[in-house]
Amino acid sequence: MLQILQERRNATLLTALFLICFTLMSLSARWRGGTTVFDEMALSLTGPLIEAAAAPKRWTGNIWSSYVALRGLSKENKRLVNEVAALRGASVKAQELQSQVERLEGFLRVAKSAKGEILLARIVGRNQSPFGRTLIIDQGKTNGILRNMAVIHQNGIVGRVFRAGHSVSQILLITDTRSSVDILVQRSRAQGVFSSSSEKQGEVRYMPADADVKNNDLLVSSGFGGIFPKGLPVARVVATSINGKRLFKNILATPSVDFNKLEEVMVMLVPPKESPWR
Amino acid sequence: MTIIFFLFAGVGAIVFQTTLSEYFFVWTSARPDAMLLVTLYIAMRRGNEGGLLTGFAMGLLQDILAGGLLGANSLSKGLLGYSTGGLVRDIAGRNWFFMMTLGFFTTAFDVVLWALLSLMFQPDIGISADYWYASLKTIFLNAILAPVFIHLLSGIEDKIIPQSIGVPYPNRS
Repeated sequence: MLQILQERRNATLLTALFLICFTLMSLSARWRGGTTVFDEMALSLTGPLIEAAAAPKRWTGNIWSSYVALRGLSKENKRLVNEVAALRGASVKAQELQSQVERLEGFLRVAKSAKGEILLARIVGRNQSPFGRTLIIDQGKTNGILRNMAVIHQNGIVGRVFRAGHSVSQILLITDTRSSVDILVQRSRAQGVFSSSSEKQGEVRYMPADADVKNNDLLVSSGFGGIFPKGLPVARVVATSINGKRLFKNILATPSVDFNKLEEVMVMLVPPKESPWR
Repeated sequence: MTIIFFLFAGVGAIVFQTTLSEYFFVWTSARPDAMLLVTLYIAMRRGNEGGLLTGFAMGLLQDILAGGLLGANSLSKGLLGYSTGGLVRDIAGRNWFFMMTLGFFTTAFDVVLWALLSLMFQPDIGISADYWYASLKTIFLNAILAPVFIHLLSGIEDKIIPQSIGVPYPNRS
């Protein structure tokens, strides 16, 4: 029997094929909707293979979707990065404008209350060396600036015009050792002279030992010097002391203006009074 | 080695059928029948017996994967493997047109036989017009892919199993 099957191998195989397939189809059609033993066997045998085959599908599917998605994301990311950069720029610009508006509003308040014409000037240079503390502003003689005109800020006195150029001017700060401002203690009206050797602190000289000066008193310009108008803030008292039997008090005061943060100043276009000492 | 290669070819066909055919569907709205193409290749290499067994196994896997009438594809592909192996024994010298024709007619036979068997065993389900439309596209896609598949597999086999094209395995003498 086996020999006959061997001899007719092809016919045997074909017959087996038909038999198996028809059996499978019959069972599959009869048990449609359910699971036949053959289905279960076939699934058990081919399960790992199908799983293995499905894995690359998942991987390629993931790669595909990720690739497609990433292509889109890449474009979107570029667009968003550009947008964020633009918005950051706009935000910085807006903050800058807000800060500028606030400063200018302060200037406007001062300008309204000040007597005489006020010229707004932008600081274009600084000299903070030990040899002198000066600023360069973008306004000069062509704008009506003259030597010794008062330069102020909304917080107080900044200095005076030291040299007036054609289109720029040099401002000598009140913190410069060559500067001094005649002051009054706002509360008690005691008089003295404010001079400074550093930006952070200055001293009030020629203040009588019995003068009524306390910490946190505001020192304002007296208007006696002929340069600065009366009543502008100059400094605030931070310490007072009396040294033995000396005639004058030791008073330390901090300038009202933070010179490191200055960006714009106002020049009071009031010609200073002539004085043989200047 | 040859058996392992054929096994890999079979697994590759399954992987292709379950993965890459989706992309073909996206691009051409038709899925190629990679199982049939691998069956044809193995039948052309190993004759009708190898073709029959490969076709049967591939068809069975396809039936299980598709969840349809179990045995229909087995019979169809088994018969196609057997007949292809008997008619065409050698790939060398076969041009692309021949392989395209082979791919076209074998796929057409597969489609028609599956439809007949389905009607025979599941007459209440019937065959929709969509089946014929999709099958027609598969027939043409297989006709185009048949030379590519067969030459690709042939090239790989010749590279990794030189004995298959008559190169002797080196020995000490």
